[in-house]
Amino acid sequence: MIKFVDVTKEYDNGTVALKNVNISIENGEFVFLVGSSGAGKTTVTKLLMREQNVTEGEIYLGDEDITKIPHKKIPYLRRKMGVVFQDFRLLEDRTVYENVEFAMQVVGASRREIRRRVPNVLNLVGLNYKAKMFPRQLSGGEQQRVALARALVNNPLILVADEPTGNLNPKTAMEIMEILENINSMGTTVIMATHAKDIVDIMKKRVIEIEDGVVVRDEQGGVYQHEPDED
Amino acid sequence: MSRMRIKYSLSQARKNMCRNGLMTAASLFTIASCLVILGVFTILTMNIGALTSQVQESCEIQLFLKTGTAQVRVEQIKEEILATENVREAVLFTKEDMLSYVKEDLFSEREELLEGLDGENNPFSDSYKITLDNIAFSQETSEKLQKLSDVDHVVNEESVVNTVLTYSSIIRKISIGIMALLLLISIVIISNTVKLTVFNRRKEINIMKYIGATDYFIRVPFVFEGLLIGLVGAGIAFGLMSWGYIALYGFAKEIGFEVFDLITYPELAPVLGILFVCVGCLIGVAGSGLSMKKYLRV
Repeated sequence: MIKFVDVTKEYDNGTVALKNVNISIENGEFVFLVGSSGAGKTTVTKLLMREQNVTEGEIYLGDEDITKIPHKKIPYLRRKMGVVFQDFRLLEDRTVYENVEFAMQVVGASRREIRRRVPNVLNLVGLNYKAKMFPRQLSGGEQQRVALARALVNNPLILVADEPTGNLNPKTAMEIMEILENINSMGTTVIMATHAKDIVDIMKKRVIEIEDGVVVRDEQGGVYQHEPDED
Repeated sequence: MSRMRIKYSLSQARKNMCRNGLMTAASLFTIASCLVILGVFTILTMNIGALTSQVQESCEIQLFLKTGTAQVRVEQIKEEILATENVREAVLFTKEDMLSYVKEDLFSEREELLEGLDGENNPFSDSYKITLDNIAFSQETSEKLQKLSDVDHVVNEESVVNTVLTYSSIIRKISIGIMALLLLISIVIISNTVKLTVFNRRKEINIMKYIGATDYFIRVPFVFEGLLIGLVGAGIAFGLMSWGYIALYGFAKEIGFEVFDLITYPELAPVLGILFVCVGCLIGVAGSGLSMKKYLRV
């Protein structure tokens, strides 16, 4: 479903973030992207979102090469994806309900549809009872759950999470991971860039390790770091 | 754009104005201030235009008849004067009128000096005060009138009028230049003020882009916001200018200002109103539209 074919990305300052990367991710998979800072994990997510474009290579979403999409069509690509960030990125002056509702307004959903879906999604992340609160009144974990709800409300095919547990304590981080696993079990492909060793090791999902812009490891049921004596 | 989208964009614009009250107030104040200054120069330009018209209309040629011209001829020559091209009106100013004028206006405290000048001893001659259609052709008209029989001489205030017209033209051109410059400066100031507003909301725009909002969806509420701010700013400026001009007009009448007639408020109001609404909306919308571009590149 998602295919990176010989993808190379060089930024304007000469930094080569990815070199000849080839990745295939099937529908419904749960994939961790791991690697040290600056390895290229965030570049992978940026290319997928078309926040940046490749220097060489193609990226396929289904049958469509998203590297060829014109600028004005990018929003429609992004509507197929939900995205969650380390810093939550909620709108501070809107309530929990309004933050999630906003994602539906952007795609032109009807009021009836909004009234039907937003409470369902808030229920899924366990925040229905806090719908009228503002982000500043929530804990970090709750804010991330709101961000998850916003990412899910338009039924995306793919959920891209860039360090979603980075600002959370271990207990809260695991709660978030449970929600992500639940989402994945319903058929949404989850791609998560992370430094959280414990989470990766516990969940035993597919792990793609990137180092200096190159895929050095791709294994099912993997752990965060390869033990040297396992080679 | 569908009705729902328009409704959504307008409601978002209103909500955004309230949520970012301080920046909205700053933008409003800036637009209103720029429009007030623009209004001052507009009023100046319009009143100079009025002065020019009034000077043109009030300018007269005075045609003096030869001493001893018969009364019949005096009345007959009026027809010839009116038949001359560019002449609008001819009013007889008899020698008796002239003597009264001199006694009452020039020698009011020494009338005894003019005793004995009545009747046949009146040294003045009959004359006609002639108003022209177009003061620019006063010289040609004077020359034609000079050729009529029994005309002694024709006095033309052309040099005075030309001086007034020349200075009026210069002041008007300067005013228009300043207005154009002000308009440009207003757009720049508003654009910078709105840039601050948009900068303040870059996070919101960024999130909207990640969620899949089109540039159009993001831009329209900001443009509507600029439009609303422009309209409200125009309203404030119009209110201030109206109050100021009505007060000025009343004061001018009170002190007996009679050099020329100021434009009345009913004549001025539609011009100012349309100008402020158009310019206010233009700078509000242009400021919003131009300042957003950078933040849409995500």
